Amino acid sequence: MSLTWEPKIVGFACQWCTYAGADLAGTSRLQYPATVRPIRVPCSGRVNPAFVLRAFQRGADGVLVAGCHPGDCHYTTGNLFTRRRYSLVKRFLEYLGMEPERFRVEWISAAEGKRFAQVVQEMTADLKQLGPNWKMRETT
Amino acid sequence: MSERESRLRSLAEELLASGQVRTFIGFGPGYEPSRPLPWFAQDPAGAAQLLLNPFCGATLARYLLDDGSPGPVGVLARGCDGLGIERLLADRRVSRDRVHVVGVTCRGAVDPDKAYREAGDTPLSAELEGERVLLTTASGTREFPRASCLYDRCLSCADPSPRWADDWLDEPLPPGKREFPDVAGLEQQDADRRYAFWTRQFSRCLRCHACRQACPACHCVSCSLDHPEWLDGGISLDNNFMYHFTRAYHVAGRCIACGECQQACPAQIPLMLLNDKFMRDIRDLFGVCHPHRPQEKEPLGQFCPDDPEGWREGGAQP
Repeated sequence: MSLTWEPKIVGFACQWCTYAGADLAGTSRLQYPATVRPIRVPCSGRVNPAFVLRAFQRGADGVLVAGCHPGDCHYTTGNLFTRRRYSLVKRFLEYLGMEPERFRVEWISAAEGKRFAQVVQEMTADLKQLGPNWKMRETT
Repeated sequence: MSERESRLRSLAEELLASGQVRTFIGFGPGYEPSRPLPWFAQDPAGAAQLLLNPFCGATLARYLLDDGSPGPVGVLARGCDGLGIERLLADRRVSRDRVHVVGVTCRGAVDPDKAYREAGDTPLSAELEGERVLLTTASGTREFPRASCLYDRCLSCADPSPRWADDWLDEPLPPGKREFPDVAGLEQQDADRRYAFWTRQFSRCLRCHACRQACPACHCVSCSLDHPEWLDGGISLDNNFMYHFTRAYHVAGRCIACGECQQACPAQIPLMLLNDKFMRDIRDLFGVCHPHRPQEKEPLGQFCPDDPEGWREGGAQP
């Protein structure tokens, strides 16, 4: 068991774009930190903001919501609702006192394996600087 | 008895006697003069007890849902009640032919607790005169500034009159514009201080759900906050964060800024600071001028192809 702390990132990934992008990162043998726990969702619009809060509550140090680029949604408009929703939620989380680096929204297509690896690298580096998250987290 | 009050009584009496409405919702006597309570008049005798004075505080819209009577319901509506009724109509919880709106222009309601603190005694009556409030107690009448006597929500009110009504008790006033100075003030602090602020607020929460029960926009028949898979029981700081986040997000884009949640809160949590944050961002990001006034489509139930990405710095396009 390693004694060094590694951040935990919960990554909600749309199955049509980002999940395939993450697959591509793997099959392309791209190196990125094993800090992200991808959760496949049918669309980024499926991600209820309560999922994000629940992730922080249960010990996530960072949360990533990622889906198709606007205009590329498999369901035509799902991610356009996501865009409105998470524009508000991101600002609201910061308003409640969460550090901006802990929550990210990204558009990552199935062809962007590199981008997926890069986002995870960036986020991991940011979270390592911040340390473990205790805000809004359950106490055991 | 004021002229408006007598007009309200005779109008309600007429509506009830003619059978146009089965119930009339307004204010009636409470346990002390400064605390009138919502009043459901069902006959002309009940209508004769209706009150209309600056102590009439609660927003009445939500009571339309509690009323189980089959016939049409009359309701007294100031600006906030009017927006609440529009909210329930837009959410299809109430049908237009079941509600008869009696509009009245409101210049603010006097908070009995603030009035008690100011006057040092139980207030018996109040009168609004421009920027001053005249409070009468057993020891006489004194003048106080408006800001120290009115409910907080009334101080930032932009809607003195409902936008429409079936009958009017007086001349409606045009709506104004809401600003959000308190939100901007909190935003200027750093993340840790904001978190400390909300920790102080939410750690007082009793989870009595009064904010939800009082809200004219928060009326789902089945509420996720009652389901353990969404919110496990127990009052702890993390659960309270979850509760308040979920409540505020559920009314984002639908809140009518009546301030009833904050008013209902026994722990004095400044809930309007949460609702105002969403309203301010909806206005700034999506160009909805008056997010608290119900519109054809909810801001979060629609999108524009060129919406900004609000999670980026300043919400600008990448």
